[in-house]
Amino acid sequence: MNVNETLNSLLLRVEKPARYIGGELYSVVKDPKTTATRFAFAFPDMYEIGMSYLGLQILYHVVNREEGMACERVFAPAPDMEQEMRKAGLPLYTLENKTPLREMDIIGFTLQYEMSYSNILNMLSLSQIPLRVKERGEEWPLIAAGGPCACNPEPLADFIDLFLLGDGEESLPQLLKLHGQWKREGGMKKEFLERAAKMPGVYVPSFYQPVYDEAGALTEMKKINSAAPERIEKRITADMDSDVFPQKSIVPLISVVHDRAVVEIFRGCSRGCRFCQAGMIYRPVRERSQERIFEIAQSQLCATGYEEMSILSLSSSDYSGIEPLVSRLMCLCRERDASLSLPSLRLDSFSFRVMEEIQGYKKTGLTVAPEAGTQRLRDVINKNITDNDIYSAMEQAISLGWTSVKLYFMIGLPTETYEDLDGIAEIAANIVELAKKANGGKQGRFHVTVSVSNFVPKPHTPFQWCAQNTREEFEDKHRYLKEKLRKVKGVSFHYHAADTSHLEAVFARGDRRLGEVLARACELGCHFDGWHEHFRASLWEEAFSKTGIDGDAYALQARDEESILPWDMLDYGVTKQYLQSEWRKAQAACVTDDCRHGCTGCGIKRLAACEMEGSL
Amino acid sequence: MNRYVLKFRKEGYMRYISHLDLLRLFKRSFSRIGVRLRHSEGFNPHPKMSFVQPLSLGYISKGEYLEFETVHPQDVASMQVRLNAALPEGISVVAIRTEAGKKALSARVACASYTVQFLDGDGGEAFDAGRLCAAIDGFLQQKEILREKKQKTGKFVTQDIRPMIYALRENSQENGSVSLTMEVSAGSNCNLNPEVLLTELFSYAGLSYPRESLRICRDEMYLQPADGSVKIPII
Repeated sequence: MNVNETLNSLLLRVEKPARYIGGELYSVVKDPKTTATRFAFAFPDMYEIGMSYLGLQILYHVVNREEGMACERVFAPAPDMEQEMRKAGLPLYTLENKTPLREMDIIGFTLQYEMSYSNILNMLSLSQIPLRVKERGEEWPLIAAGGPCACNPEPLADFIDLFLLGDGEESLPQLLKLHGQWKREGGMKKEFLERAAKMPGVYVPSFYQPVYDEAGALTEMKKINSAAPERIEKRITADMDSDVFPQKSIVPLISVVHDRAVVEIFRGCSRGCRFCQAGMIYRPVRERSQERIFEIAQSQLCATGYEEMSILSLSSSDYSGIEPLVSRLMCLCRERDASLSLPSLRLDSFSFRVMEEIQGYKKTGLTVAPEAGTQRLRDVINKNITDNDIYSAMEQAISLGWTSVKLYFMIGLPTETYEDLDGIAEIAANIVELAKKANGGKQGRFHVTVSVSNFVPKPHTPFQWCAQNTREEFEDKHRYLKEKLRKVKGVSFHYHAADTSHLEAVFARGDRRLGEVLARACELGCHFDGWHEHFRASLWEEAFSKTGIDGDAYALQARDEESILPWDMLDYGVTKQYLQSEWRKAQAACVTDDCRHGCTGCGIKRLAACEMEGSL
Repeated sequence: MNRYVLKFRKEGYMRYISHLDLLRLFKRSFSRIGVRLRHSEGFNPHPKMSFVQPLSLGYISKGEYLEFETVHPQDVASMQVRLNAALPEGISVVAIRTEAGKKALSARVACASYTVQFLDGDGGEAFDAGRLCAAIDGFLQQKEILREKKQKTGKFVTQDIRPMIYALRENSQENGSVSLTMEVSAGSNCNLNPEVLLTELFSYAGLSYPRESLRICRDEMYLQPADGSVKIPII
């Protein structure tokens, strides 16, 4: 089948056909005949989401600059396109060469969120590739995966040949190089996997066999191939100033979620919020130098012509030279008629000064994330923000003319009571009062949005042992807050669906037995579960009941600290002992200081130098 | 005033990008080559740049036009070379000239020519091409060609499209497949979508309309001088 011809006959029948054509500026099309290893970077969500993901741009760049390997892209087609493709028998293809995925050497899925797992299977099915590792003989491509959710890869272990743990910018080209050598020598798949397993940061699930006791508890991850290591350490890119950052990133032809130039200013976070997986698994903090950031920003803006530029990190204000950096970037953007966007700034006086300067009269919404409604609960989760911080920031915002504020909270956090929920409503009401006071008793246009998400315990965090709230508990809390906040004028309330959060918790801490459920869910037609318009809870229920697997247990049961967890053999730097001590401190509502005030002993120093330790 | 008009082609997979996508693409391409566009005044400044006539999603074109104003005067030859280096494959600038006329070209364009190809084989619906071609003369000899047009308000009005058709003919094709060329009204005053004409033609010939097997290319856009005698291409 000629992909191009078939595509042309169906593209006009689908919404936003440009999602499926490739051809963007700085996309790289290499000749398949002269490329030893062809890699497909697969993003298991729509084009507009995937193209906003910086990791794609980085990996695309580091692979395509090498000879003998190519990185092409593929995204999950929207349901309308999927239907057309299935009808026409058109297999999923790469955007660059329009090559069917089954003809690629390696397909690498990025695991950004658990709710995209069904899309991974669906994309394999659309590629006409057998789902399970054991069903794929020598003729089929290798399927790899990486990204944050690879820190508990077990629910996907039946489908993925190998996982890359940690930062990918060094390990992916190494893996592809290894593949090129192996291909030249003409070996079997298993030989390649054995060689790959010796590479740091590579986890080959088929080399390990989970053992369960009679009660169904995991007792051991038994090594069944001598090439496999006992423990696998995540990879860490030490030097942020090297040339791994793309300056000519692909410029999409259609508008995508984040349609702008972007520079990552540092990786990792030293704050130690206990619910936050990113804060634990991306350690240590590694800053990019101001010079290098500026250089990248400048060349990116010139090369792409973007009208907006953004900096990226887990907590921008923590960059050690944030003030001079922002001043320089503001100058640069002004010269080029571009706007500057500064996400995740703490609301201190510097931030307000900057926002005044870059936004002027156009004041977009202001966002604060107290995460919990009382100081006690904020201490439990180690979110280092006080009532005073919140209110003084709001006072400043109001005096500078902001009329819309967004507050982010989580519910269902460990030790939470209804008093903590009352705290959420109080904060919202107090902010409205502040606005009235500043406005001579009138509220005017001032508006507060309270957005609540449901807490999901994640692996490699101090909360990995705790039970999630049941869906009913979440729904009761939603109702309670809705009722409370309904009484406060000028406040609107948003919350996430409980069943999605539940399923997220199941897969976040799931084990290999969930593979059956995933395969069944895919068969039943589950896809785009992160999109509320596509998520179908009833199909998932059917998948669990048909496979006889109790999903609830994964989310709702508290784990014993002594128990063996499916991800115990994956070393992300932070030790289990440290997580345990943080879990105990949480239950006692004791805080742990930001480690820039002094090392707190998380364990990352076993794997890498920690340059920010004690820097404050 | 540094006003220019640029002629470009939109081909290959680029035919699937929309009007707004294309505007953004040109805006960024100008920025990449360091040409600053003049912006409108006011609270929400936008660059002074517009297409002479929008092109339907899925059509290719050999004669699209973009009008724009720059802050500084430009050398058109060099700008063309630099733009082509900054544009993705499938969009190419064929000419640029300065534009002296005060009135926007979108208000002065009068006519556009299109070539329509009918694909057979993959995705194509077979139809009696001979019967279609035989119907052309009779179709054009009609005094009026009436159709129901849906207005923005939702009401239907009767419209005569005959005066909007300047030419319609079949092309001889070496490989035996059929293609038609047409010249029809275009512009903000009076505009005929080629697919409206085709629908009427197929219906006149008693054939069902093979919507899926059409490939439409806009070949050129023309200005009509005051005397109405000759059509001249914009560039």
